[in-house]
Amino acid sequence: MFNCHSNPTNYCNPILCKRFLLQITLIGLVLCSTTVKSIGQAYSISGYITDAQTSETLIGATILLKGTGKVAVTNKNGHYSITGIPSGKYELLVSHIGYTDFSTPLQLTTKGLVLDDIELNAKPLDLEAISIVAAKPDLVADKTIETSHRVLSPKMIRAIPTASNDVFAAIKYLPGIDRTESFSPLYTVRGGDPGENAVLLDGVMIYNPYHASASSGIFNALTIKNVDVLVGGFGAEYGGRNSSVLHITTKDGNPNKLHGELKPSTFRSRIFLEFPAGKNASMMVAGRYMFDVPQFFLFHNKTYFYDYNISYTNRINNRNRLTLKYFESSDHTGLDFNTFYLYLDNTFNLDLYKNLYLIQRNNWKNRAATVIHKFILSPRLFLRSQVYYSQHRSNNYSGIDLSLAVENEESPGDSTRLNWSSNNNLRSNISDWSVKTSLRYKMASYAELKVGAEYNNYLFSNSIKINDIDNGNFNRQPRLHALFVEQKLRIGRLTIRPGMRATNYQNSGWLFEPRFNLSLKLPKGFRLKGAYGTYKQYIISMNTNDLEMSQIVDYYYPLWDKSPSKSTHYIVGVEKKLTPNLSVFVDAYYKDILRTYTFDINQKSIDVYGFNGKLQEGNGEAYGIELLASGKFRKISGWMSYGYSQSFRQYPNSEINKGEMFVFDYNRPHTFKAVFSYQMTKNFTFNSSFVFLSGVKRSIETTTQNFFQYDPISNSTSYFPIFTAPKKNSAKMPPLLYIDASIEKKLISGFGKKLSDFFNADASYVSVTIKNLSFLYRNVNYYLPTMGFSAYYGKYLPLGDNYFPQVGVSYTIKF
Amino acid sequence: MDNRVWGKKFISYSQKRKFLLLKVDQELSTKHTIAKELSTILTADTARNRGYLLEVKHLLIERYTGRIFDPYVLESDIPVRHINGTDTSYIGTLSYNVGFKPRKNKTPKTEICEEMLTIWHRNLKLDLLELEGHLGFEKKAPDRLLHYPLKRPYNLQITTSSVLGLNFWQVEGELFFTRPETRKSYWFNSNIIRYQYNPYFEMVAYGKKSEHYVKRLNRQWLFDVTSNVLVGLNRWHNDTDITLYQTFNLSLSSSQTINFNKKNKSGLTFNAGFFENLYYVVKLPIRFQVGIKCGLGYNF
Repeated sequence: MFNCHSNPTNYCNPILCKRFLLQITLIGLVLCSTTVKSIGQAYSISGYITDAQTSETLIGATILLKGTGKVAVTNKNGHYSITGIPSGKYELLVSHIGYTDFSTPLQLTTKGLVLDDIELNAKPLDLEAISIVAAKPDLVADKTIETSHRVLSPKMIRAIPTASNDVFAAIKYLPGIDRTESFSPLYTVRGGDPGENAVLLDGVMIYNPYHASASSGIFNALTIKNVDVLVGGFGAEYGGRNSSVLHITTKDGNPNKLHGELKPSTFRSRIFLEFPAGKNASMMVAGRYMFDVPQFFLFHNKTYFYDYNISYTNRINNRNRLTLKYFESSDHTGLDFNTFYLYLDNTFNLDLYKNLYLIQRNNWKNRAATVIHKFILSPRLFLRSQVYYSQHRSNNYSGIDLSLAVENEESPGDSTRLNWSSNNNLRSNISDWSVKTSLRYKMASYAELKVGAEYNNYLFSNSIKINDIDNGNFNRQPRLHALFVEQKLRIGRLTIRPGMRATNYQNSGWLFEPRFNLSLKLPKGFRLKGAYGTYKQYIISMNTNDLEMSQIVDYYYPLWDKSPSKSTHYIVGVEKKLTPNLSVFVDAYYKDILRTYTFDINQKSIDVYGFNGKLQEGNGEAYGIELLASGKFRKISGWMSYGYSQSFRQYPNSEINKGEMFVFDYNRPHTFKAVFSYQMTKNFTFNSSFVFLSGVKRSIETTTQNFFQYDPISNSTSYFPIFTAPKKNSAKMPPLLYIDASIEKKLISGFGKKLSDFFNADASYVSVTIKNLSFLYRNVNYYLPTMGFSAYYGKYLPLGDNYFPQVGVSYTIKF
Repeated sequence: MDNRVWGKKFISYSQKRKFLLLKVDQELSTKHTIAKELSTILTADTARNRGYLLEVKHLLIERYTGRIFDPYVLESDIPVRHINGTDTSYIGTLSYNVGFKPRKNKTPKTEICEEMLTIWHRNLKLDLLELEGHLGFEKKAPDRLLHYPLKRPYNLQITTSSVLGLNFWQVEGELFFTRPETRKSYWFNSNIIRYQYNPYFEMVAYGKKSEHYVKRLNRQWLFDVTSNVLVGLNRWHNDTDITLYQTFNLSLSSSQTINFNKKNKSGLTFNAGFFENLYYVVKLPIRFQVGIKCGLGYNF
């Protein structure tokens, strides 16, 4: 009935759509009336659970009304509600991992009671209790229904030796999420494209949330409360991306007293402060600054970035909370390799780089501002409204000048000088204004309805210059309307969540994305989960793996007069708690990529103006299985995972691989990842990580093609050779192996301890990170064709990323 | 009375290797609480007319790891209050920096600590006797008695200095912590960062242990002899023939300065004196530099 394949543009028949909406409304009304009838004489309670010290709302806390068997778990807003309680006297019990249990007597005399915030006190850390992973993963919000839901806490991020407190480095240690390339912060999820991942910072869509200069994310881990990664089968609340949702929740600030963390360094410094800001209000201010001093001092390269967050939260009363957040990041990369190459030539008596000049300049900026209002209308109704503005600008220039003397084979002794100059300049500007609201209605203890609406007003401006010739530019201002409805129902051991998302892009008609999740409790602690969902994406990434050797940014492109890219997820998973502290998860997925796009820059692109002409439509599929074991054993805690995946693409009407199916660029059949934290003593923690990734496919260039260019100023024609591959992704790269370790020591003496004591800080830490312990095994990322030396023709230069082990030391003051 | 965060028995720490590789901290504690040990010793020996309330605010035995000196040092701050019926009145703080060099290098730390605690007990008893005399207007106050409460066991000092030489100039900054002064001469380590400009290159260098030997001349002035080893990076003016190795620099420096630095007072400080430096860059001869040094600082 709701089959949307019937017409070529994939839009639903208006009559069917209206009938669908009517049915949904009727079902909702019937359910509501039934529920309201059944609980007509009952009472309900709701409120927030917070940390007593920081006043941050707690996600995943359990609220039990003793004697009734009624239980609630706080959602990502820290809000809970229990309905259908008969009048009487009760004892309310609140518990959360790492916190002391709280109980209070409760007499229900008011029907819709909104309780004051319940504050939980953190348990003192004893050695046995230290674990980097939550001991009870079921307590995380909506973990009961989400199928492929991964959670990262700041503690987990800190335990990964080389993550450097970076979310984007840390998520790559989770199953199903992989790096695209070693030098890039981009990530790919379950055989998808990097541009198919939504990154939400407190509900604000962030475009390219990466620092160019450090291959890391722009979010300061000190500000993060929780990271939810939905790697597939996500609910109707989320849309706009085909692969995954990364939802980052930041802290609201401490309304009671000043807290913070300071990490001073000559290279990379950061600060985090949270403090009261008037009655019932709090602020959080945090920032990071990185300046590559040695590079600047020695090689004249000016590279820096900064980012900062400001947050203000006013707990107006126990029903209303108003939050204002602002975030900005800026990057400047200026790499000029000439001085370094000169030193290299002098040191090793080489003549390799004498005539080679490489320049790279990147300027990136992200801004995000939002106002969030959370309102408990009644114990049954929770309203969240948000307005945001998100902007991303990038300007990327790279150039290469090469001058070579090539010996003339016919007359030995003679040589011809070959000059090769090439540069490209890509600019991107994205603005996104959005208003969105969602209403959660707790109909009964077994039923919950969520509805929402979202409006986005975009501006996209992209331009590209290759060898100083304008190769296309555009400005577009699309609009997107979205509505969603989903209902969570618990029927005995079975929980289901049917949902529907409807979108209207550029007033071209409503398209529907049905979603369905289920969870079934089985005997012996097993839990079966399943998900089905259709996902549509209107804003796609212009990236192709052929344009740059290492892609470090997504150039987003709004589709115009074209159907959205589309995929359907089918997921089935099983969870089992082996011991109270050890859980295993198995997920199997199939992703039908019904429509996808790519930009074929090799298709005679030198004379194609405009981007639509380079856009190629295709399809594909991805499937795989993931195993995850997570938990704690004595003093060791952590997780390990294995993933098997396959991903394919086909662009039937294009030159790409002559229209035939090929293995996707980021396909990694086997991945094994492990992160362990060993608490050796109360002041000393040892962390280690192990990653094995099977090799990806690459198009190794085996032939050259000359491009001619006419310069009207000098009235001359020059040419430059481009290395090309006749077949897409024809070669397989070797597997990658990463073993890293770090130790964190709480200081009890020395200069660092004295400095933290001077500031009356709670503690100070020194961390030593040893990266690339597996440096004897070369991680080859590229094979570059050699040129200029006849003896090397036909040979390839392997380029790795782990030639030497790296040691980093950092110092942190926590107060 | 003992209100220390580290526990009532803690006196020092040592390091032991775990898995033959990683050094982890190990706390050293006394058998009984420090407060109990003190009360046992002092009740027997110093019970006279007055009653005192002693607070163990800071107590730590650690090894000073300088290049020239490496003795063990017991640091302790004991605020002393006079008990008068139910009231107490603050008299001052007895501040100790007891140096000890074991005869044998491999003496177990437990033995060293035991010996140092004995010395400290003896000093404390003597000081309390002197204090008794002082309060009875018979004697001067003990040297180790500070007449003001200590906010924290260490004072932070920051100094910035500039050096002008024959063919170079440089600026440097130092950050260090010192104990309250109770002796005429003492030593400490500081962190130092230096920028130098000379005819060949600019240099940024860092030294973790800039070792200061200080002799107090009077309540305002002191004499400071400093030695340090710095590792730095060179940015060459003419880099045509420079190799990667020559971007590194090793400097060995010393300075002798007269400092205006009021004893146990916070406020501005300044210094003036001489500076000498030897630096080494691969493939180049070792060069010697001499200059005049002057600087400003602040004692928190």
